[in-house]
Amino acid sequence: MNRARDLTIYRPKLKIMSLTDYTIYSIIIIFFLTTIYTVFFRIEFRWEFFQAETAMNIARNFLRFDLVENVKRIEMIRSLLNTLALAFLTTLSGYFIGLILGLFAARNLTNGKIASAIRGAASFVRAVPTIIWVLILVSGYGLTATTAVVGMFFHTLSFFIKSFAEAFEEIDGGTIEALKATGSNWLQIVFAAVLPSSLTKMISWVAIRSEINFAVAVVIGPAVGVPGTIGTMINNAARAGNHAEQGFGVILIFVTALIMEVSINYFRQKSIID
Amino acid sequence: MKFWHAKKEGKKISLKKFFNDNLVKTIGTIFGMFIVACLAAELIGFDFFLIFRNFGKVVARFFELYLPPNFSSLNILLEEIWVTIILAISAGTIGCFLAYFSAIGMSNKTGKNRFLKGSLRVVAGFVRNVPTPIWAIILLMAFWFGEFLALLVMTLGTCAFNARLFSDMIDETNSHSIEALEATGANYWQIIVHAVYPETLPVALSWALYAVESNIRSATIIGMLAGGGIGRLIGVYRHFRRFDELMAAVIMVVITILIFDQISIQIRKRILS
Repeated sequence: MNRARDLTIYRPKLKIMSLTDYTIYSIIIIFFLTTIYTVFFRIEFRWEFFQAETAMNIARNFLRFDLVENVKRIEMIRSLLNTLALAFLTTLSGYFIGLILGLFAARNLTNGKIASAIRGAASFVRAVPTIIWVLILVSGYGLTATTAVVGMFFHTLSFFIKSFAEAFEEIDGGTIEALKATGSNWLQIVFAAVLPSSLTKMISWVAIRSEINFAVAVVIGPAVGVPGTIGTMINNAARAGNHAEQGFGVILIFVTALIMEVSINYFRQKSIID
Repeated sequence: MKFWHAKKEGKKISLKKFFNDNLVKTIGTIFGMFIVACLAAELIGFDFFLIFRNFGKVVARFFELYLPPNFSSLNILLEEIWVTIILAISAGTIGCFLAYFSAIGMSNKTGKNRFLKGSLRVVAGFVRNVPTPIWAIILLMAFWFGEFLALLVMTLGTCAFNARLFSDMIDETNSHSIEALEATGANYWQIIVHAVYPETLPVALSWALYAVESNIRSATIIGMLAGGGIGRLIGVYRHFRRFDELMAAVIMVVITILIFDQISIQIRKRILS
């Protein structure tokens, strides 16, 4: 009995709160308090505006592909192809220019000033949303595909600069030094050491960005009004109350994104094994 | 390069060897991509030379319309930025909270019910692969345009995206502590609370910070389509062609994103050290 009480008194403390733990718990508390404030005191939701009938209609007609006209189906698949083309063009152009600028933004390949200047510019470009770039360009290029491509290109480029520069900086410094000692110039270092050893990482970054670019290309239509992309078609169908057509478009997007994800995972695993 | 050396030395080379050559492969890939890019440009009507032809016009119009930024309605801007931040944080919190529980059901280590695991994976995959603003367009027809819809859409996106990340994270945890607790006869929820939760908390929190960051980034477009926050204001300014005030709103968004980036980098450094 006595012994048991002693044990409870002298039980060693299993867990000591450190500064990290305090940071974690304070962030969690701040987040939860903000959530409670937002949900219960800031947002007022007017239930009288909730249209249960429309919600039921959307759910019921979501998979009714037989209600979609054949002409509309072909038009939707064409606009999906347009969207894919948009994503492909921006990813490709961003990749080639981002590769060159990423080499200059890596601190172990150039001097610090150029690297930090390029990185600062890239992080500023990334902070401006894609939609704003497109809005700014619309006044000069008009509502064409060119506007969408150039607007999305800015974001893609800065993403690639940041991620490629980080990938290049992770290369073993000894390799570069050894190549320098043999008297090879900058281009030889890049082609012999830098690009081959960061190829896997670059492939996975390009894969991630092409997924993101597809999503952005879908979205850019309804927000700015670029014609001929699938987002615009879905938006028009939703505004017209054509729920079957809207569901068809959403399923098309889902299937495309799923195919992209699965094939990208397959390629990534294959390239890692190689 | 083997091919070129072989040619120099005067050896005979087969067609198979030619296509296995690295340089030939690289050049072929680049050439093929160029052709696909040309076809894609033809399909959507992308005009490469228009970029340079109209570049001067873009700059001139930008200076004419957007500059100088008009900060006359600064109070409304600050109010909407505040709404954007709290919407992003609360959507991130609710989304991560729900995502954590669905990740426990989805993960191979902790998911015991096969039916629940499969259905959660299908639903999360479906929601994740359709871009968030498309959900805004779909839900807009049933719900009222406003802050609630923005919160709902952001929560949906965060939840689906983080459920997969969290389930991967739970898969990567150390299984020794789970096995040790199992050996002592702990039940399912005790194992999760004492073995899985403490190990995954810092990583989960850093993903939650990332979710809040990306919610703030996407608030512009979600606000334009679903209402709520600074995005709604930008949409209104664009509609009424008040571009100088729009520029002020954009500057506020950029400053918010840059500040939040720095804060989350600092916090992440401290958490994950």
